[in-house]
Amino acid sequence: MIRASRETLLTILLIVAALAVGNVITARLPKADEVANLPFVHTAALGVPVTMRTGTFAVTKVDASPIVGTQLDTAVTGGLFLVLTVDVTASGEPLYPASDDLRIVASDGREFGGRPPVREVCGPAQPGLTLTCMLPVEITPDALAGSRLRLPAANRDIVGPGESEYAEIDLGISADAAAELAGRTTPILLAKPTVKGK
Amino acid sequence: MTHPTPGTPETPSGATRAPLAEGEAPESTPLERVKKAYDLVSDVVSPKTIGIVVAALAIIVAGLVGGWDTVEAVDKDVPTVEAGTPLATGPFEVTLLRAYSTDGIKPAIYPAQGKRYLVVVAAIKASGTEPQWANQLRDVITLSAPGLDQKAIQPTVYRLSDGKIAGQAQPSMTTEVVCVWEQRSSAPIPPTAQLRVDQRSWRQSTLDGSFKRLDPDPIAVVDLPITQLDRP
Repeated sequence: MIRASRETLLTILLIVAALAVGNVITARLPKADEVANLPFVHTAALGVPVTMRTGTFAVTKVDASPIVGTQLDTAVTGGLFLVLTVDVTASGEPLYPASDDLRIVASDGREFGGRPPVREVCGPAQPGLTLTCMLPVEITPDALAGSRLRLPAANRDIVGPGESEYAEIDLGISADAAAELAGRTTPILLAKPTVKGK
Repeated sequence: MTHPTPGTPETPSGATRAPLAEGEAPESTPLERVKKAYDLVSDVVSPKTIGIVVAALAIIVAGLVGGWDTVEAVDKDVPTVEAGTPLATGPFEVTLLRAYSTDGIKPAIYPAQGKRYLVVVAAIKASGTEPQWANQLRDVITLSAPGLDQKAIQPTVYRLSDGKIAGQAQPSMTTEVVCVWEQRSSAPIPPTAQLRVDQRSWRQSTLDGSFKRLDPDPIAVVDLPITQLDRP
């Protein structure tokens, strides 16, 4: 029978312990893929401009109504249209904000958005000129309080991964403000995009 | 253990038997007997013929146990539910409410020569916490009626509140929509709209790896009496 010396046993124990510690460290460290896929989030509040790689965006006003329209069209909902007035300044090239991909995220995690039944196409915003647009989002009144706007830096491509850079803007809607917004019934006319100061 | 004496043949079971007499033929094995029997008919029954007969028998047996029943026959097992029953289809909860026939409903549906429209009003609510495209309703509702336009066998979906094409249905928010099928005006208007509702699973496609609503599974049949609307 082979008898292991005390040094041999100690060496084996040390190797096993080192492997165990290494395994724990590796499991707890973030993986390269996870880090590479993390979204790049810019947080801001109502009225505060946020700069992303495609341009600078600011939500300047929040309004609501069950009826919104353009000069040609009208949409009606059993819920509410939350209408955001957004200033957009492109950074390097003409830009259409990702109005179909934006989401209003309720405090309980529900997400509202997508292409609205009526809209005024926002853009293209030109570099150096601030374009003001009105963007409607269909939503339930009970999701207004504490909701945030999640605005991607660019429109999603048809193929490929989703946009990983976005602004998360607190719309500043308190419970009282939500009740007041939910009670509004005056139809909102979506103004055509206008260049600020012109 | 006893050993057979030399020259005494041993059977497969180990038992011994008497040596063969002069002119006596050795006892044949079962395999040899089958081969001998097949040799008698081998000029008629070839391996190919045997294969054809086995295949024909398989087809007949499959038919006897219902393998050749039509899809409609399978649908008979799907429960019929009342109008107004909420049904979980995967992308939405769908409630089928009422059905109409019409020549057109302006401003969404315009009259056309040789056509009428079968219209079903439904309430949908997106499942989960994200918006869902309302036109997925086309994949979960199937109408059975004579004279449907085979090129547009899936309905066009409009919002009832404003007549716009239904875009995205929002979570926890009920949206009433109108599903419209085109029917030849020469075909009779059925007394009821029989609608089959399917459930679909959200899973990764084994063909292209993308995530889709796949595997339609009929969960209910709803019969809605058809009311004729006045001309537009």
